[in-house]
Amino acid sequence: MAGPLQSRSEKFLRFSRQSMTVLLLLVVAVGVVCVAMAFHPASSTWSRALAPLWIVAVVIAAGLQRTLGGERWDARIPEVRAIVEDEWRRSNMDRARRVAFVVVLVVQLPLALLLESLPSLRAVIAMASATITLGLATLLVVFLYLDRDGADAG
Amino acid sequence: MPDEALRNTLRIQRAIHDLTQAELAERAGVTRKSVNAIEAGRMVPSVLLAMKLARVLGVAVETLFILDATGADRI
Repeated sequence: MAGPLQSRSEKFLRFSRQSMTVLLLLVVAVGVVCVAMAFHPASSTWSRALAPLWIVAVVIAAGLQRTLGGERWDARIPEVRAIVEDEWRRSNMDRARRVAFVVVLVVQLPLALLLESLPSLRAVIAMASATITLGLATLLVVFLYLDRDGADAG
Repeated sequence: MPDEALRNTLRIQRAIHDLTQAELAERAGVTRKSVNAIEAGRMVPSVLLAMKLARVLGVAVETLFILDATGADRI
């Protein structure tokens, strides 16, 4: 009885982790492009780089959906609800959030010094992009690390 | 102040009922990662989860979680 249900639960868990990994890659890619645009606004290379990124995102999202084997990520499904409301994952997310907050605070001064040479508007854009990217990336990396399969082996 | 720790008998109770971590997790409505973390002493469950686990295993919460002054499986 537990076999298929167990694999179903694992399937949703795997999907959740893969989605977060893809989100991490997208956040980093968009963040890097935004910061690069602030440094070289005249170059159209960056804005052209964003267009295919969305196509790649849609393709990856479609590919990820296939890993669910025809099922949908629906909060009404007990396995999905168990993942969303899971205490271990929530505590890991809280820890990741705290780490990301500290990282965002710590990098403000180095970022300000680094972006000092830019005109004020571009510096603000670069600082905001870098802060958001760094914060989100740290949150996702720390969460994925704490929630990795090796962490619960035993 | 005495050095108190929370010990749990989850692994033993699971063995008695012949349940895997995944099976227990599914019945309690959590992931196997939570069950593993509690068993390994890396997480203190909420009262709600502790009671759900006790109910699934058919024991009292006090049987599942023991406040121990010496504490093996310390949390």
